[in-house]
Amino acid sequence: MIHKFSRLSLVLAPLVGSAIAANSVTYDFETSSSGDLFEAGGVSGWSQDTSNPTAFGQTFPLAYISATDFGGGSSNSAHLGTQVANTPDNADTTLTGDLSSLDPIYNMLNVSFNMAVLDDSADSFEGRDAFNVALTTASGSQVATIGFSPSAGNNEVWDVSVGVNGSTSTTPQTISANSGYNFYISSRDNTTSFSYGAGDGSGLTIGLGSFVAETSLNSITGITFEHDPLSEVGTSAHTLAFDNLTVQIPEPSSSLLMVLSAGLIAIRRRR
Amino acid sequence: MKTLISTNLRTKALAFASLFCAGSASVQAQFIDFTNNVKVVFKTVDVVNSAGETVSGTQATATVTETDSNGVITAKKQTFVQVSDGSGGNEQLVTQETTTATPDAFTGNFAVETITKVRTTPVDASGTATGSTTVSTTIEDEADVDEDDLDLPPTTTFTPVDPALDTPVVISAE
Repeated sequence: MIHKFSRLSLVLAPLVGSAIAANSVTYDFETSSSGDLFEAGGVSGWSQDTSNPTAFGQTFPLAYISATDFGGGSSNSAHLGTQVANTPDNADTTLTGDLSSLDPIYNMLNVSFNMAVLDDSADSFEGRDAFNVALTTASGSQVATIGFSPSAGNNEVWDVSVGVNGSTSTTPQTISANSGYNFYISSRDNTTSFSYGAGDGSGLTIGLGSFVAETSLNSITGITFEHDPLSEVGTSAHTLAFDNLTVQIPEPSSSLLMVLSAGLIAIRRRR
Repeated sequence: MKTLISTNLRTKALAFASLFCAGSASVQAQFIDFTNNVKVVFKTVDVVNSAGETVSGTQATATVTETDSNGVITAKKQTFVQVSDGSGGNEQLVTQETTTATPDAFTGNFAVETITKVRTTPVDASGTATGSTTVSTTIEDEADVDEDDLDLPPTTTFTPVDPALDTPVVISAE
């Protein structure tokens, strides 16, 4: 009996070990401090592609850490946009979170994050810009994308679009400024599905669409949050806030372990 | 959707803004207090340098406007740009413009005085001063200006958003 158990352990041990070594990346920004800047590696695991403008002997950030409460309590979160500064030529600003530690991805991926667009429609900055979130490859190609574009006729609403392979399709769903949301991306093999709900987890989670991707999920190395200025230079003052970003590889080893365990138990019973 | 800004939030916003403005002790920063929710607008503009050449540079502009209890409007506008000086070096041009509009108690029209100071400082490529600053000052006065013709620069202050976000009701739009 002991002998049989040892043999079984030898088979199961590597599988159990593989299952324990969870393959996920989480960015909750709690090791950062309010006021930290993303530029020049100021936030661990992240990079910013555009320099913060300077004037009057000071730096005015395009992306920074500040407290936000998405419904689960106030905590540090990332902010990207034109609340305190803008690019002089209306260039995009992109933050990239490193996901390279997720190798191998097994062509499966689950992503979730809190997000909100912060905007005061009563201030003198009436311009509104677009934002997008994308899973990207090392070459910068977008494998899966969620876009937020200013809704026509309503200064407090952004239209939501989703898609794969670098393009997006408009959905009937919208988000409201200064409201906290959860967004989800779930990919299995070539099919990628998008959904969203309230930031505190209440209410429904609404599907936004499913698409077949051409680019392999295994090539994903990062997640980008991009501010795309659409309005005239210097006329907008709003930010995309995001937090609690989790990118997780569903563990095939767990599934495999269950199947193999069931098989081994069946063999033992037969004997 | 909108909420009144609480004292607590105002304090938080002030503390947050101060993190970005560590160097606020400089002479230029004292003209406008950047810790008071002032957004600086950056634009690529053409300016005339001290050599009289038109050159392109990134200009930063901040404007604040206040009205006191007597109805006197004070608008402060500050710009900053670093450009080529036309002789192989660089220079920083800082403009500080103060416009004071004082209402006449009888007519309601304004007496407007605009004081503009242009500070020019030779600098190296990194912005470090390599020479002394020259200041030129101009003063303009206008009398009996109708309120509609004041033409004050638009303020670039912003209202911080309450960090406690609303909970949306997410429903299917289809």
